[in-house]
Amino acid sequence: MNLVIQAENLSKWYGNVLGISEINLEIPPGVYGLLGPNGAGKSTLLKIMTGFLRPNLGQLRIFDQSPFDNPSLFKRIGYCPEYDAHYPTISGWEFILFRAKAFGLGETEATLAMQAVGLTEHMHKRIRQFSLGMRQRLKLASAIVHNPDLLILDEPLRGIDPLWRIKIIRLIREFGQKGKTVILSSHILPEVEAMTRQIILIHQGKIFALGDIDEIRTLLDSHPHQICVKTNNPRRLASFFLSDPHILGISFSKHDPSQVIFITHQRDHFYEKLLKILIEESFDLHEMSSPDDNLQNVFDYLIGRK
Amino acid sequence: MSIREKGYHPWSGTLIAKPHHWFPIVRFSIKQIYQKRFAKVLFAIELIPFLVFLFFSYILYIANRPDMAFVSLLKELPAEVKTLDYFFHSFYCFGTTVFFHYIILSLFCGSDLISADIRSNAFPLYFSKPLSPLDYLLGKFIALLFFLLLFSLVPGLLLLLLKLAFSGFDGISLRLIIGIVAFPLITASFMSLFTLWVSSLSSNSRWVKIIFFLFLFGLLSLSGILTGISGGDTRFMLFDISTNISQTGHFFFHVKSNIVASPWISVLILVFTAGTLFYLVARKIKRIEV
Amino acid sequence: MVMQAHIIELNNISYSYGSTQALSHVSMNVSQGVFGLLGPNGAGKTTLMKILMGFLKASAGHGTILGHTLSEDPRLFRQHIGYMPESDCLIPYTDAVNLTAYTGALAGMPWHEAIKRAHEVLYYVGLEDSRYRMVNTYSTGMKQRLKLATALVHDPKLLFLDEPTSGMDPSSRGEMLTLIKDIAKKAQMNIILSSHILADIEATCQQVYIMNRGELVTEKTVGEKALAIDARYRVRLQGDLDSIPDVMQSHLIPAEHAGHFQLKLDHSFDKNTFFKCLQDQGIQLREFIPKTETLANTFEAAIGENHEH
Repeated sequence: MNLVIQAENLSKWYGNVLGISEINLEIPPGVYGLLGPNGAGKSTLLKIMTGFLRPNLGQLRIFDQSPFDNPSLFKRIGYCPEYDAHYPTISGWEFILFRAKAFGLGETEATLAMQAVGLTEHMHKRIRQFSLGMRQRLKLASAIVHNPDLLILDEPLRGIDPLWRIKIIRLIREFGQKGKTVILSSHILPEVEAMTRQIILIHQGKIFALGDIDEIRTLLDSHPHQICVKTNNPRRLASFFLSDPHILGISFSKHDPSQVIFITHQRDHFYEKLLKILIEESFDLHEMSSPDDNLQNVFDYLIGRK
Repeated sequence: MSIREKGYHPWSGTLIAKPHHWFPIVRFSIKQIYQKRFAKVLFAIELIPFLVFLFFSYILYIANRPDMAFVSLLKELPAEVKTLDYFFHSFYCFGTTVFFHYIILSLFCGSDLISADIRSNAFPLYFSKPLSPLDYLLGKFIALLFFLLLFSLVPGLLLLLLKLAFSGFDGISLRLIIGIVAFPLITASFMSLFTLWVSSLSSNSRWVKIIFFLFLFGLLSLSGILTGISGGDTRFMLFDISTNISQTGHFFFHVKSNIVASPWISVLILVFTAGTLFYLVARKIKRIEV
Repeated sequence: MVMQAHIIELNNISYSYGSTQALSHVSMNVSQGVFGLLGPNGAGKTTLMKILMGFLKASAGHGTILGHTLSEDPRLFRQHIGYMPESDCLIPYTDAVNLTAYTGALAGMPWHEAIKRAHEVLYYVGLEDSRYRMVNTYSTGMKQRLKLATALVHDPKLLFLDEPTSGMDPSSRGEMLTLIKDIAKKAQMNIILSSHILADIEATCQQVYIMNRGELVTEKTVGEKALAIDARYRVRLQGDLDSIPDVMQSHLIPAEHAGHFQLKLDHSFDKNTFFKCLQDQGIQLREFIPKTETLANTFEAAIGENHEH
């Protein structure tokens, strides 16, 4: 398995202020959500990845090269930064064409990029006339115009309206399906979940979690799983589990009489047993879900302010 | 026995029936100005002219008492100087005293009154409440006027009271009292509106201060140049703000002016310009996109 | 029980400036509750909010808000409205209590009441530890909460929230959404929430107004269940998914994520049949949710290709 990004004991600090500390990463191709509270070290990590900063300790390698002071590597990397870096007096088209030509490409690639982000209608306007959402999409276009193998996106959907949010989420997912790598930093967890199941969670300058959301959730021992089942007779269903030692808790709802929530550490055991009971006792299952099995909860449990 | 639950509680009070929406702005702005870094130092310095004239007030008092030792020194002064009109005129206008202080106070207290709001984009905060652009302007105007009058009108009135205490109603006429009140009111209102207008021109308070000075010196230079070109026609000095202020002083305190123009013209100029500036700022505020 | 009057009633409201038609023939009846406002950039959401708050006067049509007509002096109803703008609007060199009380006083509260209420509201939004600090030392999340506090201090009847979670990190976002849900439920406050983030609207709103090109395109109840004729479910399965038996193939359509499927049941293939199949194959059923129209689907269907920028 080829690793796109490798970090070994990576540390960076600014005087007394901590950036990141002892970060180890091995990232194969795929789409990854880079998450963390403000000040956690995300921007530091991204700046090292994009070659703006050099670490104090350890090393980071992208495609087996160091990104610092290495312009040739940037042919394979597309970066969409948080801040605006435009020339307001030229048109969007001129800007993207300039970028394409800088990579040795031409109008075809530039047009494709603009089509992918939906700016073809307005691309001849000057950038200073662009709305915030349009400028953001222009940044994205310039990050993908040279068809890079690695995309680094810092809050890519900022200011973009709901329709294009949906389309760009799809675009990023497709990028991943094509075998490319995307590192995406965002605060909006439901949108990250729509793009990928792989996350990198940074807090206090360290990696708190790396991998599939499901697997991470399973590892969270201190927070047993909640499984919400809605049937025609929830209390009767619950009675079958009362003497089961793997079930840590059963609760009912005041607002929804068809609902029962089971709390357990052993999910596999529970699901198998539930299926068996549903069939044998002919329960009518309305709904079954895991209310805390989402990224927001995983985030809160790990970073845990409460 | 009842418990108070955590969470949102509605407000059980009542709103003021007919509120003056400009009043919270006055109160807030005055507090903000007072809490600025060198405010107290500056205000202490601004009290110096008052203290100096307090001293001279005593001197004038004893000048009428022949039994005091150094009265003979004062005998040399011309009669005009010993009048109350001249006294108050000096307090307000001697060597552009009050104008100098107006400049310092306006710049310190007023240069960021509107420009800070432009910079921090606070207008949605203001105008989503039931207040009009006029309320906003009035509030800021009164806040700045407060400080300008605090160091011009209030000391003037205090000196008047002291004169009453020292020498009774001798030399005090209704006209003098009107002058002591009207002169600071008119001139301070003008300065306040001028400062507010300049403050509304930029979001950067440094630029505001620069523009302020540019206007001041620009007008002074212009009037000087025009007077020179016309071969000494001092009516052109009316382009200068400080000239108009001292002319207003001449009008209210019946002191002879050294300019050819009649003093009441300056009063009109100040009032008319103040009105125009008010209209300009009001228009600018009304136009602001929330 | 007296029929609740509508909070907002709009009848053919239009607004244009120059040659641009920002709003055309918008009509809506908003009753108690939390409403979302959704639409592409330039759809007219901001213009509509501005007209409702009285910053702009409609060019045509008429409407009422909280019982006052829109043609009246807006100061008459602004006391009952709280506005949390998207942009930075806080006065920096003052502390939170002072600022919040100030906005309360501007709304017409007596000063001491305003101070008391400012403390209460700052506790409510979670700023109790930092309420004496200067506003310019606040982080983005704290500033958003403070903006909410200034909108709540005078206990309005209607709240306008514009991108309330903008710039906040995930924990703060979650807390802000919880706050909004709490205000709506416990305080029974009416809220109009404008956001680009579908997840925010789905989490808090009961009803959504979708706008496009100055028109109100559609009105949707959030989480409306799909019609029962077509019994579809979203399921998540775990196990050996390569060998799904043929009988299930036609009823199970793979969805976007691995392990996710869309299940279609009918009289020949009902729930029991499905469960038995799973058990026979040794496949775990992990999620079984009736398919609802997601807000994303509704939005795409409503706007589709017919959008600008």
